[in-house]
Amino acid sequence: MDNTRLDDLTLVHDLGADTPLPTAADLDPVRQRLVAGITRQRTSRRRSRIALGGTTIGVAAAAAAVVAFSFVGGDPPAPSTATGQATAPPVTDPVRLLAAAAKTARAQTGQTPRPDQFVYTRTGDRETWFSVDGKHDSLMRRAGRDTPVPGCRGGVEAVVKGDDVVPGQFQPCEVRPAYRSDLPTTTEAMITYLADNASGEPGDINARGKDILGLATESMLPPATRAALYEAAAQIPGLTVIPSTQDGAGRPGVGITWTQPEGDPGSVGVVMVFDPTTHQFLGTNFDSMREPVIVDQPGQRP
Amino acid sequence: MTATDAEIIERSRREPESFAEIFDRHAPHIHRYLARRLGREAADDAVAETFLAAFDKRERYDRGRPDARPWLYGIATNVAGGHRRAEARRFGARPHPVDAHDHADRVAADVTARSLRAQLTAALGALSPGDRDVLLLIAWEQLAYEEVASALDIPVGTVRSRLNRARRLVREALGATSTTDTIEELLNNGQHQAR
Repeated sequence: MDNTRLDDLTLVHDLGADTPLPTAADLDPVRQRLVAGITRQRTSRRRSRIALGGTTIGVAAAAAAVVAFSFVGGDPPAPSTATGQATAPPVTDPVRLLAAAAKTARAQTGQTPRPDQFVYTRTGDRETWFSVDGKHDSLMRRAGRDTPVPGCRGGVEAVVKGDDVVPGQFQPCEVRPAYRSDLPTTTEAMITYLADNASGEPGDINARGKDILGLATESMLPPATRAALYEAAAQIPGLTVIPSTQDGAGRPGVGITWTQPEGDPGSVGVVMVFDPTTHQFLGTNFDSMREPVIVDQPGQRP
Repeated sequence: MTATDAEIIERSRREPESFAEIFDRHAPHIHRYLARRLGREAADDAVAETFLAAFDKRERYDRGRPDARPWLYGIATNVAGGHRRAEARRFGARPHPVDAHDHADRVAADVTARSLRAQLTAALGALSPGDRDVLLLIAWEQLAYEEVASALDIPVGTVRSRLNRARRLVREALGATSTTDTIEELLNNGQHQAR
């Protein structure tokens, strides 16, 4: 054959010629993943695990202290099977319910807190005031006993022993803002974020559900982030609606749950409970979630 | 004046968000490169992986290089290496035997072109990874020898020898499997096809 006429480089080049350059729009989901990755590294959190209904849930270390529900040893009310409590027509499709919840979340004006303010939460006898930007000294109070949570400034935080700050001692830290303006605000980016920060193996539906639950209950989310979280939740396979249930405080609502792992007799399915009319997230069947409130000072009650 | 890539990467050490500008400048080409190698489906993941790896390595970026693209091609090539299964699917397909009776009359040209494509992809798949990397960066991505050397962190002389070997192997593979008289017929997409 005639090698001088054979331009193998051209042949190879032509093989790649029908692959077009992608547009910026094509690349946007990938770009969001990069930005989420950059943001995550900046605010990356140490992870701890708490027991949850016989399995574990990965939560941010600081947030573990804020966790607004106590699953272990609790006495959760059985979901009610009564019907007719809801005034609105019952929603039976989980995707539609979550879409409605997302719409409600997105419509909330949601005050944007100042960095020097605090997110106040109250669960039972436990109160927390966590720094909005994570850099100010926060406070936990349980049964009247105060525990300081030093802010992370310049990469270090004061060392706490027992309930007291050790004078002059510091340790490396990561900034953990209580107001999660660092999380994605679009569904797609949120799905990616959840996948990248999954506490379970890929495909572990139960772990994914609990990751979502953790974010929904343990931190203060901007409205668009909360909406994106519900929309991402709608993508979990095996979701079912419990038309009439109640939250931990006994408030009636419509619930969503997902396929639970089998074989653990101690495990009770977690139900995310939404207001039947407004579709606002109320909490879980284990606990009611008090809307976090912004205050100016640690120790200040709204 | 527009900032160079080196300046943006430098800035991203203090302002990590600004690294997204590097993505905006180069992601289209890096994506096309990875889509050519791995297929469209795997490319999105591989591009995200490439830029996150680049972000992690930005502290070690050689600030003497204003253009970051060869550097990104190098990282993308490593990422592609990690997706070798996807690449094997793409390049590993053996040429499909052409049933002349079924196709020759109607779509001879098309079939010939497809047959060439299959032979070529098989030839690329048979190359050693190092040879293939060099050939594709030059033939597809139009990198200069020096840029390939920089991207893959190998001497320019190695780029030359790998390219020569890869080209020879591709020519041999095509020559050995071609059933047509000359490669020109294939190149011309069957226009000179004898009926």
